[in-house]
Amino acid sequence: MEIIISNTNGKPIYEQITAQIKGMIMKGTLDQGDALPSIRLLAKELRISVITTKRSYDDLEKEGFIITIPGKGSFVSEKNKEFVREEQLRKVEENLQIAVEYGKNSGILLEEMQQILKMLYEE
Amino acid sequence: MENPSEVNYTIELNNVVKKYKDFSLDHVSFKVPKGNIVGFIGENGAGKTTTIKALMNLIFLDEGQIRVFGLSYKENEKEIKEQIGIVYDESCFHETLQVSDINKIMSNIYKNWDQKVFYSYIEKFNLPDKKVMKEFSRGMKMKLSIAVALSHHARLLILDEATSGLDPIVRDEILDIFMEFIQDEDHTILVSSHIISDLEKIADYIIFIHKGKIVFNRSKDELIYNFGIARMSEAEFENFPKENQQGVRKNKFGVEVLVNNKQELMQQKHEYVLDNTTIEEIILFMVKGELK
Amino acid sequence: MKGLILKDFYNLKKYGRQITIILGVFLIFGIMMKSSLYICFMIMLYGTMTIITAMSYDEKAGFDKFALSMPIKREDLVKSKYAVWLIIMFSALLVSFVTGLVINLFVGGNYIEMIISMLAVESVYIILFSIVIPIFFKFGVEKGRMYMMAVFIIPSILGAVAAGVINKAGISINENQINQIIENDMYLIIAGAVIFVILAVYVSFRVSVRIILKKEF
Repeated sequence: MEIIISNTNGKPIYEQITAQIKGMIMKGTLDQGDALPSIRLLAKELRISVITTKRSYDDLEKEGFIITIPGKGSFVSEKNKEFVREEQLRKVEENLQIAVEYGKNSGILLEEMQQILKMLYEE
Repeated sequence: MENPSEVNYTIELNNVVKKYKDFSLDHVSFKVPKGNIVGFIGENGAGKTTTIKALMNLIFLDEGQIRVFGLSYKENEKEIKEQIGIVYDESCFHETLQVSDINKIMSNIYKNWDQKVFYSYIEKFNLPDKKVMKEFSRGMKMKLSIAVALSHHARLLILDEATSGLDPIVRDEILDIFMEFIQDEDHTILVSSHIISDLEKIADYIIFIHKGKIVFNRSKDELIYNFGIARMSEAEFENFPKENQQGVRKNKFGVEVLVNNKQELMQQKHEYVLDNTTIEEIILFMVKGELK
Repeated sequence: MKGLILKDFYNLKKYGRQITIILGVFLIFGIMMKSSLYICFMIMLYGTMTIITAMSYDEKAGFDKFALSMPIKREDLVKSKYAVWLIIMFSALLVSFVTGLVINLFVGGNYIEMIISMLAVESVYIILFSIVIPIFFKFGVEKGRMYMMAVFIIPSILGAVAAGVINKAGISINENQINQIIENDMYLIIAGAVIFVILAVYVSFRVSVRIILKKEF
């Protein structure tokens, strides 16, 4: 598992960690039931404060991505992957809906639309 | 989420007053939560060492109470000190002593002295077996003091200016050791230092003392997140709102303002430069730039 | 407390070696001058004085502040010092006796006179240092040295002045008379001296404890 933080990109460190772990869970790098490093180990390795790592884990737990069992540690929560996947797909659909409507109204063909999609994905 | 009433405070100072001829600790109060690294910072003479002496019961209070591990010195002095690993800025061992002498002495002082752990640190720090203290460099003496502090199963590590005079490499090694120590959530570290850059990264809380008074005791993340430096012209400064100014520095070519509402300001449109800041700069501004 | 006593003995290792050499030189002098008294008095003096060296080592290293940061009672800080003082002092006394006996074997001399004068001198040393040690606890070794000089010099000056006054007043002290008194009440005098010495050490100890209990580091 890899977590790379930046001190200068403006985003608070705890947010960066939350985002990266979320990303790994959604991509499947972290599977449901997988154990996460303890907040203290993470703090030590990244050389940041324990409060920072705790905040990320708290946020991840609030959003349902992980669960923390006292005495045992933090684990990627079950079922969450599917739920999140659905959420993501829903969001994509929502956004595409806007593009498609606009396209239809402007007379843009499906093939053109697909071309644009392809180009954007390959960027 | 942790239940606030379950939070344990390793150190509690309540309205501590200690008067000297030209200096006093003025109603110093703060709490150090268990499992955290707390940086205790302030300029030379601000009261850090006096506070730590009070914490170790080396001096007597005019007013106020101190509790360590929830215990008071009146009743549990020995018990408290068994669990504190202390590192001062000067090594306290006589120049003719060797590592093995120190081991023998300490094993007869601390109930939980762990010779194995001690020697493992000696080895880890590459400290020579046969040399006497006189031949130890300052960095070596410091590492030895730290080895001693960590070899009796202490729950609280207190360092008083222990890292001044050490090169960055040694200081980095020491930070590593702190992080290792804090892996156990029952452990706490209080580091008093005027070299703030060490603490910038790993401290959980920062307590700032100035002229014997506690100026703030806040989470480091929050400080870094909320404080910033706005750099502007004199003209802009005239119109700059006063409420969130925490310090001002004027130079020949402009004005620098320490602000505590950086996030808010970032949302607004502004001509002036708004930068992130470091704990060190915050202190500098608050001390030198007209303390608010 | 054992740790503190150990610490002092470790600290004094090098010093001990130096002193042994010095005393060795005095021993040779003593034999050459056919007198055991001088070397014996020197051994006892060094034995009594070593505690000051031990305390100065602590002061130089700033050890007391560190000691009180460890699970050590303030009283133990004092106890260990007195323990070290007494241990070294009585060991020196023993060595002194043996040395005296050995020298006397070679050069002859009055054993009884030697033992009594040694005990008398030792008692004086103990009483003087009983006064001096609390001074060191209170003021530290550096500042305390001045007071120590005073403690040694003032009685000497007073003694000299008293002797002068007595002389001028025409009162002559008959040495024989004094020897008579001593021989008659010898055991009483010895018992009195022993009790006085023990009392001096005890009072010194209690005063030192009070000083340390109040001291800030």
